[in-house]
Amino acid sequence: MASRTADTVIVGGGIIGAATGYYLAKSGHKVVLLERSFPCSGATGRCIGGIRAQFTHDLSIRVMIESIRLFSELNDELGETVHWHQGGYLFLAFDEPRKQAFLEAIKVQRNYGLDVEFISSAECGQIVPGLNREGLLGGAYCPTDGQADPFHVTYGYLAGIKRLGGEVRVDTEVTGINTRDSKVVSVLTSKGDEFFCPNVLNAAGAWSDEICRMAGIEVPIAPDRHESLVTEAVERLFDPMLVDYRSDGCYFVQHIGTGHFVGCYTPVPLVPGRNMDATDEFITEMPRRMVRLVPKLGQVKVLRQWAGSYCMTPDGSPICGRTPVEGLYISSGMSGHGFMFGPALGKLMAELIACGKPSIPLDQFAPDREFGKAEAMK
Amino acid sequence: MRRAQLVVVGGGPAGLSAAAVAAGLGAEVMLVDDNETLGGQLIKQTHKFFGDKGHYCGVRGVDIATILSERAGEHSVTVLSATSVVGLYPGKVLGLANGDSFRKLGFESLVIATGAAENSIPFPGNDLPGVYGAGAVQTLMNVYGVRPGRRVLMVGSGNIGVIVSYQLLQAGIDVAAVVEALPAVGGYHVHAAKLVRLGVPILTSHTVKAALGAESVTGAVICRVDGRFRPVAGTDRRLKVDTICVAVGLTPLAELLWQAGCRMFHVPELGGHVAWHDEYMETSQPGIFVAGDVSGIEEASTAMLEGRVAGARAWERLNRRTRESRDIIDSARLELGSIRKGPFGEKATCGKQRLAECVPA
Ligand SMILES: Cc1cc2nc3c(=O)[nH]c(=O)nc-3n(C[C@H](O)[C@H](O)[C@H](O)COP(=O)(O)OP(=O)(O)OC[C@H]3O[C@@H](n4cnc5c(N)ncnc54)[C@H](O)[C@@H]3O)c2cc1C
Ligand SMILES: Cc1cc2nc3c(=O)[nH]c(=O)nc-3n(C[C@H](O)[C@H](O)[C@H](O)COP(=O)(O)OP(=O)(O)OC[C@H]3O[C@@H](n4cnc5c(N)ncnc54)[C@H](O)[C@@H]3O)c2cc1C
Repeated sequence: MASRTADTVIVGGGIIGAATGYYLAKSGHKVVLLERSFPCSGATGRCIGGIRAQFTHDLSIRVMIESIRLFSELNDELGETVHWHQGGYLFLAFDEPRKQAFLEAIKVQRNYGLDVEFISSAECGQIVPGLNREGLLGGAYCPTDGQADPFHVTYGYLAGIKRLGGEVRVDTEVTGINTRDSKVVSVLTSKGDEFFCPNVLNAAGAWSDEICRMAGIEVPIAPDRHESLVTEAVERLFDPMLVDYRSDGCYFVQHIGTGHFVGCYTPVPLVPGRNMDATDEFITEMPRRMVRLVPKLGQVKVLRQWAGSYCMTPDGSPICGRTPVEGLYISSGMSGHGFMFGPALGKLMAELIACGKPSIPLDQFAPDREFGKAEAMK
Repeated sequence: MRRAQLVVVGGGPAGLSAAAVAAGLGAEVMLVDDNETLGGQLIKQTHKFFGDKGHYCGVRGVDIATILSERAGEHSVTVLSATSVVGLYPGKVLGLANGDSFRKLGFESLVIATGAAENSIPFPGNDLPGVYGAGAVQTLMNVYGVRPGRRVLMVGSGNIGVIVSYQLLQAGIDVAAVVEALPAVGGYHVHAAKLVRLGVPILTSHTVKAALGAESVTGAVICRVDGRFRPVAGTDRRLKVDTICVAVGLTPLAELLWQAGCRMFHVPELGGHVAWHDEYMETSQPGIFVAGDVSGIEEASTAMLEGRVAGARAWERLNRRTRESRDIIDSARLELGSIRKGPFGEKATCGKQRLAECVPA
């Protein structure tokens, strides 16, 4: 058994582990990132790459404004094309209560300087040519929201970690965390190595409860299954991510670099657990929902489908911060938004671990918070 | 949604044999294949089949396809051609795509006989028009009657490489050379000898280094390689060709098996990831069987025999063991054993052995 040392061991090679590891390495930490399978094998490689600041929770809006700033500089920062594109997000309102909820949210969002407004049904039709506007009252539209490629972003961060002298180990599962007097001592791996380190970041997504349990801690996350599909590439039809919150709605976007449409929906009722089977129900239902919104898509073929886990928390906001075990940090429970949160939460958690204080306080995401009012724009 | 007792995916020699045997025993069988014509690889094989003891030795592949399809027809197998199985879902449901339509098909038992896909190798320019898999060239020529080019470099001297080279010559196309990275020719001597007699150089310990051309292939750079397959400096040679044909092996088309949750193992002798299966071709998922190249790259003779075993066993699983089903399985297994004892069965035998030693659960 080989023993080694690190300043921070990161568990998980998704966007959260990769981004946090990068900003830590940049601040001079010796980082070792351990990934059980391969980078992006978890939720990150299964997500559809949407990025938005349209939330109802104050801290989420602030963090996302920072994340969008980081995304827009990411090509230069990482020396990698991450396919960042500000095509906007358009949340559609088909009934009065939904419209009122959006108007409420917009008030809060505008307080933070976000360029968001409620646009008419006709304006929606201009932004999304071919949109079926039957019953549409209008939509919440923010043109600075956008999209990026989860693989390029994550691999870009990982390459950065290595460039900055850190280590990334794939096919390496964390099997135990040793503590003494409620303090992190070392991390054990499936390869038989032991890493002695003062800090451990649990960035294991839907599996982060297992990691916490290794140190005797419980964390209130609940994974559920979300399915997704990608279509063949077609000419550019429209820019924004379309979000239809109706119980039989869906959300989808056209990838700017390639022309593929990718999309998902939240099943009713939810499918709890880490089951990642793709279903025949989704493959028949999802295209129907997409075509209902944009009838032209009826001519476009589906290429592939898959499933991944949303890692939900009781209030639908992330769980980020210190845990009762000294030196053990968590950044998880991304509730379906971890890709977009990745850069900013990565930077802020790195600041917390390296200097003790993030530049945007993350108290409202703290693991020991009261889980109160839920995020309305999930 | 329609439900069939037994669905066979893939209408090559393995799938056709499985379907005919199971239907012959009395099962209600549906056979799904993505081509217009049944037969799998066989429909493009205009050469007489090799193999010493196996079935149909000396018969042309395309004729074997006809015989097998007729047999399936006699046993009233329902055939869905030009239909791809695009997904295997929980609850024993397949997703079928045919043109623009998608529908579902339920099954009680399933034989997966999807065959294999051609491998490629990395070299600059390998995405230029004019770079083909050898199987694709064979399909163009022998199924569609299309000449792929005028002058060809063949990469790989296994059976596929040498047979397709010969068929290229038969079609009036020049073969500039066959390059082979190993120090010896891989394919059967008879096929290689025919090429040499016709003046085609087979360059062992050589590989393709690059494809030349802006819009499409206009040439190739080949070079010598050392014992560890590294290019030897100063041995580059340019060939004027408009087609590069890559015949560097096959990989089992195992996607549906992954989706079924079968236990998969990587066995290099079998061509890549294959599903663990018992001696009756049943995978770790009860009621799901494999046969043919998808269970390990071999040849048509073994594919047919594995298909017979899988078809009969699937029927037994749905019904009961009978004298007839037992006889089919026993005799097919006996023949498989004797083919694999032959000089060219060594690799597959070794692979199947290795797979058998893996633990299914
Ligand atoms: C269908 C779908 C669509 C989505 N769309 C979007 C979107 O548009 N925008 C958005 O922002 N978000 C989206 N999300 C959510 C987003 O994908 C996740 O929130 C985000 O990827 C979470 O990142 P992560 O790094 O926390 O987790 P993951 O990417 O799951 O990474 C965790 C990693 O930890 C590893 N791991 C687990 N246990 C161990 C161990 N013991 N040892 C070592 N490694 C371990 C896993 O292998 C995994 O790679 C979507 C999710 C899904 C499923
Ligand atoms: C050039 C060449 C020469 C050969 N010469 C000989 C020889 O002389 N003697 C010999 O014994 N063997 C020979 N072989 C090998 C032999 O052709 C193969 O081993 C044999 O065809 C394998 O049979 P199979 O049924 O497993 O697969 P295949 O013949 O590949 O049939 C599989 C079928 O399944 C279909 N399919 C795949 N996926 C799906 C899906 N998802 N949905 C629907 N349909 C699907 C495919 O399109 C195909 O029709 C040769 C092969 C080649 C390429």
